[in-house]
Amino acid sequence: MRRGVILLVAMLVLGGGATGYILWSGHPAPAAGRSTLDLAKPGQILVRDRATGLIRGSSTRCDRFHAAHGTGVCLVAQPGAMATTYALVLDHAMRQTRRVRLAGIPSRARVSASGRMISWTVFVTGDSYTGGAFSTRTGLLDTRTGNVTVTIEDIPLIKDGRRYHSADVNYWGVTFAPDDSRFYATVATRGKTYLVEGDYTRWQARVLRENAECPSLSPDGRRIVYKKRMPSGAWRLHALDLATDRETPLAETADVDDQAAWLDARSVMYAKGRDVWAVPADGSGTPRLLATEASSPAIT
Amino acid sequence: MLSRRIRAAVALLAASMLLQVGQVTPGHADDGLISQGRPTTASSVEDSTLTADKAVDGGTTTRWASAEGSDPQWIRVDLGDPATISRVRLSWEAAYARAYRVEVSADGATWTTLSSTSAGDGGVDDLTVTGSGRYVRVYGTARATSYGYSLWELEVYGKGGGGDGSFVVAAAGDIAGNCRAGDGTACPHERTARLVESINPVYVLTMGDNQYDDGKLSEYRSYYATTWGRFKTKTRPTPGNHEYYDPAGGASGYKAYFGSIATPGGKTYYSFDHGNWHFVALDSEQSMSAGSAQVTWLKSDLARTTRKCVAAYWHHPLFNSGSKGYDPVSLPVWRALYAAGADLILNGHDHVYERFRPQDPDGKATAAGPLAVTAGLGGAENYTFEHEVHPNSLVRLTDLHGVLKLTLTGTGFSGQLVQDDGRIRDTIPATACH
Repeated sequence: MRRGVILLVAMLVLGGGATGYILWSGHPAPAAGRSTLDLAKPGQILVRDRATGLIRGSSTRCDRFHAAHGTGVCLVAQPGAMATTYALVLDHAMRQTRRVRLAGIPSRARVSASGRMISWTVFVTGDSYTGGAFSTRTGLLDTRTGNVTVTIEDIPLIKDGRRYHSADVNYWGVTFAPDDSRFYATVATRGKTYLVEGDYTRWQARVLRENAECPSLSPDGRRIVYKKRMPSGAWRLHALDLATDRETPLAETADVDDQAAWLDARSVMYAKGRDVWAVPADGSGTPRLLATEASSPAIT
Repeated sequence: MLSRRIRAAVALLAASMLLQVGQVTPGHADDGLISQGRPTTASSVEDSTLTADKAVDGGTTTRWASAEGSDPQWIRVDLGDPATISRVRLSWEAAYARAYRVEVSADGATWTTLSSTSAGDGGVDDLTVTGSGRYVRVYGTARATSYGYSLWELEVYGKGGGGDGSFVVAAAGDIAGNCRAGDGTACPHERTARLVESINPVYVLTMGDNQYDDGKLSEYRSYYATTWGRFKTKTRPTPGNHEYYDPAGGASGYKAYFGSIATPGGKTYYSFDHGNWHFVALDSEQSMSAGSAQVTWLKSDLARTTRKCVAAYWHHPLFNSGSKGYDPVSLPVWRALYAAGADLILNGHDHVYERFRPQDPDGKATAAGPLAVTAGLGGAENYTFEHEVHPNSLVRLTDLHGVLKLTLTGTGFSGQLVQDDGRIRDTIPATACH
């Protein structure tokens, strides 16, 4: 096997700090069957190449991708009459360790900071309560026990202080806390969407606030960045301080329909248009381009 | 004169108080209950609800009563085969005998007295006896009251006989859609109801989602009542998520339809005994978290039971290779049941059939764990197995409606998944209780 194929690596120095990131921003790896990516190596920004679908630096093709601490999740839509997606769990060398078959189209994917918990969301059609419209199915995989919860929609949900029961409950966009138990997600029911806080160990969730979708929890577990539907109909990234419940619009004013990922303790990255951008998570600064023709940003 | 209802309630209270007092068991410790469910006849019955079989059904809320105001009267149980008898236990209703004999016979014609008294005081008479024969008769010669003779239970303990304390229950979840008995075999839950009738179980257990779409009382009355409602009095139900969609309030249609059958202790979770079995009916739409009221109750209920075998059932399965996957909601319940050595767990929710090898709550296969079966096949449209198969999953079937027929003995269980066309689709091998 040729060892001399060196990928284009761009070093970015961000925000005046000393921290360096490796960004796999160049061309995808040749389809040589071997990936030079090591998900266990910290500090790499990974993106999906829009033209090829490959995770840059690898020969792995995904429709959605996320990775943390040596574990990756790759959602791949399968061709065919029935909408089918495989959620592939990848080890640090991007080798598949597990494959979960899902009915639906890839939407969101996330790995907890430790690499233990994996979540995905797919779009599905045909739920009787939607009258034919799209709904979602969100699942969890606990890599420590191997248990796959195909849909979390049966989790006991507390809303307005009471147990909530409705046939139309739909979840999407999970983000995990560092303890691998607490998580946040979006729930939709009866025409409204809410931010929920869940607990995998206790298996319970509660509604926190309305109109906050695709949450992304900061590495310190104290802030959430999510997309909020504006009166215009556009999505706008906002940050929520969990302790004070204070919501702040980020400096990104464009319509962003993505589940943001934290680049570091202070900023988030996300797909906008055909590119990946980053912006401070406190409302300050301005958006800057991280990678062109890319999506599904993740940092190892 | 007290109304019969009050009289019965007072007697029941007295009986239950007596039952709570620690009992010294006479006879040999290893002698089993050999009379339960055996053919029973009597000299007379007060009315058609107070038949002789009620005295051997294992239930302390049902009873036999003879015609009022007449002596002598008797009740006779056929043990099936010759047996050595060491103990006879009589639980009298308010209508008790002042004078009676307990007799045994090899042929049902010639009787030998095992015990007799002319100073009966009602309550529970727990008699140590020595004798053998196939038939046991309680022969009342003098009533204590102006009523007849009435027994909550007549229990014969010993060795031999034709019975092993076995009885049959039928179980399924996810039952009644919007069709009714009048639709005939076009209606899936009418087909499974006919199957239940042919099985003729002692109890019918439901694992939730008994009535779609919202378990409203009007839906129960229109659909479920016409099919599975035929077994209502012997049904021991649990609710599912659809019962909690009722706009009148969570499970309100379910509670209104089943009444005290569904909430014997005021809660949607409860337990009951039959033979050597303790049954626990749980509600997975009520909190099952560690420390919840339900789990606290469950632990103390399991600590109290003296029955050898334990079966528990509720809606949402913990382990599941079907459309929903692993559902952690009942993990604390599994931990409590595993710690108590429970034998059998029955669930619904996924409209499939799945049988697991005995395992612990963490999914490790072990003979010390309960055997779990998902049987959400009572009539709702089937789901598919499209995800990963759980490592302990032994049998997975879908595209069928049917019920689980369980044969429960004094020491173990076996079972069959019976499809609505009568075919046996799975056989649960004989398994000993822990």
